[in-house]
Amino acid sequence: MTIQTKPIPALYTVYILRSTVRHASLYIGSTPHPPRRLSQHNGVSKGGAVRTSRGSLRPWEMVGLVSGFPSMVAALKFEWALTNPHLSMHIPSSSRLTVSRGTKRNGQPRRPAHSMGSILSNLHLLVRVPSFERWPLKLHFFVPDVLAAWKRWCATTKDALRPSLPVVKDFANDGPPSRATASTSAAAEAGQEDAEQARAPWGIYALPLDYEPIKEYVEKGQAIFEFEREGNCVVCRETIDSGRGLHAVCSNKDCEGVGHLACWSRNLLSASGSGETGILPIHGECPKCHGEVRWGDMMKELTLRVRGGKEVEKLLKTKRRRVTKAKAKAVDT
Amino acid sequence: MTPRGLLFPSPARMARNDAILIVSSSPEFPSILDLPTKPPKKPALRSGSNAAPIPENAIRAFTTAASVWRLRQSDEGERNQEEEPLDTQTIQPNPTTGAESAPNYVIELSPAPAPPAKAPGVPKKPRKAATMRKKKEEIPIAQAQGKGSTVPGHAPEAASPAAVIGPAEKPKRKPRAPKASKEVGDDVQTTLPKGKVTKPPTKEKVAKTVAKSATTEKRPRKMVETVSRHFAPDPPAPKTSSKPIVNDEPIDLEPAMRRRTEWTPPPENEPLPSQAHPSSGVEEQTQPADTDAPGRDVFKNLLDTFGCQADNAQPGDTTGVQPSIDILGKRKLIEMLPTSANKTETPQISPVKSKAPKKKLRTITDLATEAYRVPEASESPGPKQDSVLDYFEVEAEQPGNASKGPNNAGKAKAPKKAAKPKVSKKKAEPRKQILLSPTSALKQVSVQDFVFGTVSQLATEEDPDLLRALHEAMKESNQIDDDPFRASSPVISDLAAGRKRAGKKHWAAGARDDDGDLLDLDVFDLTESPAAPQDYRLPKISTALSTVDLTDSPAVVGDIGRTSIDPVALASKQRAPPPPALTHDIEILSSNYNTLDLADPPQISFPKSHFSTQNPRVVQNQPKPSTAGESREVLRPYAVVECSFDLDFEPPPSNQEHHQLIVQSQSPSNMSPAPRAQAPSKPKFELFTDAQLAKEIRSYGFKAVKRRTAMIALLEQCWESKTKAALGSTTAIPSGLSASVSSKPAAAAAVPAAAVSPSRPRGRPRKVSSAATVPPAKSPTRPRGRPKKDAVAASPSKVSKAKAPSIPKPTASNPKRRGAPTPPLVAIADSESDSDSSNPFTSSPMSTASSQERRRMFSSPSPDDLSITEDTEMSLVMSPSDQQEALFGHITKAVTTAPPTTDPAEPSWHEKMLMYDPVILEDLAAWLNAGQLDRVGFDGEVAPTDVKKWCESQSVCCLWRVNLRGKGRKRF
Repeated sequence: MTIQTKPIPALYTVYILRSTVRHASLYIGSTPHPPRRLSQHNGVSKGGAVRTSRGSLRPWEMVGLVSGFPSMVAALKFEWALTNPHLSMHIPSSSRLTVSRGTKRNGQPRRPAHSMGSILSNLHLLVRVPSFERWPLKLHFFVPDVLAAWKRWCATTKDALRPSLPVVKDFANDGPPSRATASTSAAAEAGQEDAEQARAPWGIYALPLDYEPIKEYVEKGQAIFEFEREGNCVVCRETIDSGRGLHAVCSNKDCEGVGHLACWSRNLLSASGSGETGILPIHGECPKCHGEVRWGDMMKELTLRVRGGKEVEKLLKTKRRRVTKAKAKAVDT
Repeated sequence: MTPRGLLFPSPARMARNDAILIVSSSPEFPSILDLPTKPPKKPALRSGSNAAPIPENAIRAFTTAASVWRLRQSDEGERNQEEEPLDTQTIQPNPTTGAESAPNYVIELSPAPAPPAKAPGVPKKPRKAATMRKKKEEIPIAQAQGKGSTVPGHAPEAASPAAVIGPAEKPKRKPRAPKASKEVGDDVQTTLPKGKVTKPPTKEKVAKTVAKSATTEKRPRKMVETVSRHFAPDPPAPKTSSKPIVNDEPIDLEPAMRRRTEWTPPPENEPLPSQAHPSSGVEEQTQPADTDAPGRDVFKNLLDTFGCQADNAQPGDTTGVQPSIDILGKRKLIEMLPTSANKTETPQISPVKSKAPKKKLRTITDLATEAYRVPEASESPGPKQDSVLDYFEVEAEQPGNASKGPNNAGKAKAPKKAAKPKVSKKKAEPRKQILLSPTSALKQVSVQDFVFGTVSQLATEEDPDLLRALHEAMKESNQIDDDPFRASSPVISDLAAGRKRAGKKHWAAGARDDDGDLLDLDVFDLTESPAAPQDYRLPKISTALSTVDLTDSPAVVGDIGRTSIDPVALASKQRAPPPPALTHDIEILSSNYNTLDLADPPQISFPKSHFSTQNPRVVQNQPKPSTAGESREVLRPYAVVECSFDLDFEPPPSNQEHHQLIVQSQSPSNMSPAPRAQAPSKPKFELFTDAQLAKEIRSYGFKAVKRRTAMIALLEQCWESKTKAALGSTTAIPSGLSASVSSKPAAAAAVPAAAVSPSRPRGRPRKVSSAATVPPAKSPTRPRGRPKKDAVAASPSKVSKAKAPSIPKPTASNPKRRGAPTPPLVAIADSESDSDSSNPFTSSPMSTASSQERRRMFSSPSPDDLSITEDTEMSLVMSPSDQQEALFGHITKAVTTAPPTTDPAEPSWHEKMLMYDPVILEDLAAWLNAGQLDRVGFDGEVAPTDVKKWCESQSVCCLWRVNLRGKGRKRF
């Protein structure tokens, strides 16, 4: 494969941008770095979309986003689908909510105008669609009225989201972000961090842009495989051939359960009931520590470990520096 | 002002000039500056003019040139001179242009004629002379100079030099002129009479005389010019004051005079009165316009432009006028003469002209309209004449022609034509037969038979008899269908109902009142009462009947069963009504009969609402068909009847040529079985050319679709719906109780059936919700008529119906997806209904079942329906078929059971998927096909598209190797 593979990005999001001036003006985009992208949209830095370049509509705000995309490609797919819900082939025709009327001059179906309601409803639809439903996504809402609209929609539709899909709200005046619904450990970590900071950044500024949240996890993985103490596969109990093959590690803090990738997935899938027919697990229980594990987190760590030497190095390096600085400060004081 | 006024040939132009003059009056100085530069030009001009004496004067002027006064005076003098020369010379080239342009473009106009004519002279001299003159003139004022000095001495000179100078100095002159005119104004007034007098009499000479007299200045000039151009009466000028001048210049002026002679004849009278009004130049200008003469001139001119007799008139005028012209009321004389001359001459000339073009041009329209043409030979003389009088004469003639005309026309048109000519006469176009008033024209049109066809068709079918036969045949056939609508008065229900034909009954069956209820119809459950009374009496029309309904939907109630079918009716039925095909057939018929139908509004406007309304409470005891299915059942009997009746007849292929159709119509019996056999086989639209596809689509009543794929998809859907409908109807027969209703007119029965059939999207999506004009009822499958936006307005009743019964629809207003964004919120089923309601196209309430289909049908743009992606989407969306499911299972098994990699850098496919790596479909497919599927027991290969479906079903992120732009991917 000529394809250059990268670890799963620390953050990739598809966001809903709304003009603070005119709330009907909406934009859907994707970015691995929401704050930077927002500044671009607002003209603070270079590179904003033309659609958002009108001065009268600035400043823009990200009212919500979907994070957790395992790759840029995935994020772009989702973004396109969310932008073109009338066209996207990921949406079954039986459940398509947005139907275009009329055609553009080039014969393509005309895209119905976005509204917050339509976007949220299609977002609700897309996270349930077969193509995306097993992705380790997470929903964030940063504005109360958008979250209210979301909840309204959730109430009206009979199709429920999978319960494991985390939905998080993080409002400006909310103080420490609180979890609207189920949240992942990663999110919890982020929230805790935010809470710890006096003036906690909120919204997109609170999003982890790097692997910092899983630093410990990464360190654990590094330690396990560096010293070849994988032990046996937690699932199949076979010895893990260190350095050969892909082995996932339990994401829970104190658990060092390691297993074959296929074994992990098989275990989790069978636990969730999808058994033979499934490929991608979503989450499950670690057979060793019986703690909750999320496949997305595990894969992030795995890919980082396997492919992201640079990132790991950077991650760990920065930590050391910090530690040193902190120590120095402590010494000084 | 005056000098310019002189230039104006006609009142209209004068008006323009006035405006121009006012604007231009101020800028004098620049012209002065130009003087030094201009001199070189002047000499040439002078030489051309042959004005030796002028140069002498000019020299003097040069010495004094510095003062503004002198300049102005010189300008005035120049203007006078210019005017004179212009009159004489410019007249020749273009009197009108010269006059108009004089103020603004003087330079351009005058130089051209002047330079060649007048020999090169000393450039500066003329100006000097002009200035000198001006100086002299100032004190003595224009009168003395104009008459005496300028006219005698300079007149010849001035003419030549003026022409030369004029161009260069023109800008100056214009502004200056008004001032000069003001100064001179008083003097001019005195002189004016002369000028005016001169103008009318001698068209040619007058101008010269005027110019000379123009020395008197403004008014005389204006008058002279205007008059002179049109009529160059030489004698009057001499009489007035400037006889000597006249003598000198007449030669040059003559040609110009000729041209104007036509225009000016009326002014002759005016000059005298104008003399009486000695006022500002503006007044003078206006006056001529007011006078009768100018008005006539204008009118004449206008008429002349439309006439083609110019040649004749002019010679006659020139010859007759000059000799006859006397000093006195010349214009009257002139006018009279030319008209008389024209009349005599014109008849001769005119026939030639008129005939020639006719013979030469032989167009299809000529051929087609030949029969209806009135012989124009007698009329021919009239048109050539220019004068208004002539036109009146023509009118007098026309009545006779008109009377003749009808005879020629031959057809029943005669009476109407007779009426028409009367109207038309007033309008005064001699040749053209008649301008009919709109109403009368409409009447005639209604009577008129139209043959529509391509040029080739019309051209080839020359045989009028054939065409007429076709028409009649079609008429007959149509009558049956048409009558219901025309005759349909809602009131009919009880009374004449029995009498009405079966066709009407269709409509009655579908007729709804405002509330969406069936009008009079007794719903008749055949199943319960197998022996349907042959006398099917419809209940009285409910009081609710709206007048509107009456018009649109003939609620014909009668004995449905009662039809006595005359041969004609039979034939018509055979063609149109077969139930399944019904919709199609009707459409086809309509399409084929377009030519005939056009005349018949009723056919075209089938109230869609009648059929479409699903929820109408059935008036009587019958089950209320809330859903299509129910209504369908109720209606089924009809369909059955029709089927039994018409089974054999298949709708003619829509493509059928018009001509063929007509022929068929003549012999209806021929039609039946063959087409039917053809019907089942689905045409391969892919093989059609674009043109053919377009034609097909048109035959279904859809607007042209640009994209080929869309066209094909649309056609396929249409075909399917068509066939479905047909099948349904046929199938219905067995199930339905055919026996009972058989007697009913097929048509009546058919309509309801068609309407009911859920499968077809009945109306074509109309931008306007109004079902009114389109005959949606006929063709549930295809919306044949084009969606008319105006339709709503046209047939309020229909609209009302459509709206009333069903959901409040945003009718025509916003085709935009008003609900589009919101609909997503609702459950799918709901959203559809919403969309339907919001959809302007679906005016009528649809059954929920059919709504989806309809929506698909109508929203051609929507990707789901017609776009290429349909297949893929289907696959993605739809639960994989069993086969596909098996395949997916095998793929999953193959992927999951593949041995894991030993090299973390090169994970297996399964591991890639587990790590959320984007999967390259081609590679995965190749891998699967390379033994992996065999390994898991699947015999066969898998296509990348299948793999894609599998991936998407598994939330596996997948990619094509090549991106949409055809380039390889660099990153994932």
